[in-house]
Formats: sequence, structure tokens, C-alpha cells
Amino acid sequence: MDRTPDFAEIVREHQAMVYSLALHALRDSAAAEDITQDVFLALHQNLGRLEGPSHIRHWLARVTSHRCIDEIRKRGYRRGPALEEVSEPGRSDTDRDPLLRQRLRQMVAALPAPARLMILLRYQEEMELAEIARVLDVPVQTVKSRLHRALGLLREKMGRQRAAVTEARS
Amino acid sequence: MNPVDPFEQQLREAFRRVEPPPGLERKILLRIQPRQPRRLPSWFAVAASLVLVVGGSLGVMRWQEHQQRQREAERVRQQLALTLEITSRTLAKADQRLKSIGVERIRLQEVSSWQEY
Repeated sequence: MDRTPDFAEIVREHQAMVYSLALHALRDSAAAEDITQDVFLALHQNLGRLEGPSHIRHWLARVTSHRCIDEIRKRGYRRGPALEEVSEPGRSDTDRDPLLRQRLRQMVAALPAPARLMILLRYQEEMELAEIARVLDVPVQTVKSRLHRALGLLREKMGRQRAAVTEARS
Repeated sequence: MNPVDPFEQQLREAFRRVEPPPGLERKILLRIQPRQPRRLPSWFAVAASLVLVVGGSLGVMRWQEHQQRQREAERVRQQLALTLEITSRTLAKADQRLKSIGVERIRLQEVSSWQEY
């Protein structure tokens, strides 16, 4: 595969995916930029081993996810507030979408690293469970159970928020 | 995944892809460029050549001077050796001459002492 002219195109096509995964996982734009650069540098070094466009996408998702999990663990993000400890919005919060989205991101950032990446691969990249399992090198059943549990916690948390807002309005 | 589940839809909206910061693509492509060998400015090359030429010339001149001094010293040494040899021969001759004069005197003295008797 002739590298130089195609590689710029590959970067343009996939940089949003890589950067977004890293940004949503780490909630740190500088770290996300560093990881993005490292991942594409690694891709360039391994491009000859990849078979085609879909393989490249899978490879990028895989390497980015693993780098993010390593970074989260290294920085002790896991030791940050657990989901149960993330404060629910007070009465002044409304059910406006931007705030809701921000709140959802905060709650996901409080999840353990693997669960966090599962949520992102599922809802950012629309991946099926089997593909998530291949990307993260875990059994499909593990993806199923962790995703189910994480979604349950998030729903519960959001449900409590809505109840608090409703109560505030009444 | 249930496409109509509002909660999952909220998750999709919360985690939509974000545009990377401007310039990120350029940074990535710069990192994969092979490193160019650092080129020295042309004035540096000229200066380095001058230093080599001048230094080399000075070195040669010094060597030649050294050789000249060596040859001069050798010549002086040889002259001195010759002078010493000549002096030595001259002294030897003088000594011989003196010795021969001394023997004649003794003979003369002997003769004169015999005459006194």
C-alpha cells in the first residue's frame, strides 16, 4: 500500500472518531489530542499489515480504546467520584438538552474505564456488541452484562434527576 | 439497541463525534515525515573549509621549519666533529713533537754531562 498520499486521506476520514473517543473517555482535550497523534503514528507504522478500510477503522477503534483505558487507569480516573457519588443537579437545573447531555457525559465519565468505552463504542460509533467485544478483547457476554449494568445505573441516576426537577417545579 | 428508546437517543446525542481542533491533521502528518538531515548553512561550510586550508598550510610551514632546523643542527654537529678531529690530530702531532724534543734534550744533557767528566 503506497503510504504517503493515502495516509492523509485516512487521517481526514478517521480523526474525528479517534479524537471523539479519546475526548469523551478522558474529558481532557489536550490528552485527547496527544492520544490521537500517537494512534495515527502507530497506524502509519503498521499500515502494511492492515487489509482494507474496514480493518483500519476497527484497528483505530481498538488501539484508541486500549490507550484510553490505560490512560484512565494511569491517571487514576477510576479513583474519581464513582457514579453513585456524582451529585444530582439541584433545583435550578432544567431539563434542557445541553445540560442533560453534559450531565450524561459527567455520569459516563464516572464509570469504570471498560464500561465507559463500551458506552462510547455503542452510542458514539453505533457498534454492535460483537464488534465491541472484538475491539476490547473481551467476551461478548461480558460486553452484554457490563453495558446492561452501566445503562441501568445511568437510567436510575437520570430518573432521580427528573424526579427532582419535577418536584422543584410543582 | 432500541432506536426509539429516548434514553439511548440522549446518549447518542451526548456522545456525537466532535470535530478535532484545527491543525491536528497537519500535526499528525508532520510527525510521520521522515526526519530530514540537518543542513548546515553554506557560510558554515565555507568557514570550515577556510579553517582547514589555513590550518593545513600553517601546519606544513611549521613542519618545513622544523626540518630546516634539524638539517642546520646536523650541519653544526658535523662541523664540530670535524673541528674536534682536526684539533685532536694537531694535538697529537704537537705531543709527538714535544716528545721528540724532550728525548733530544735528554741526550744533549747526557752528552754535556759526559763532557764535564
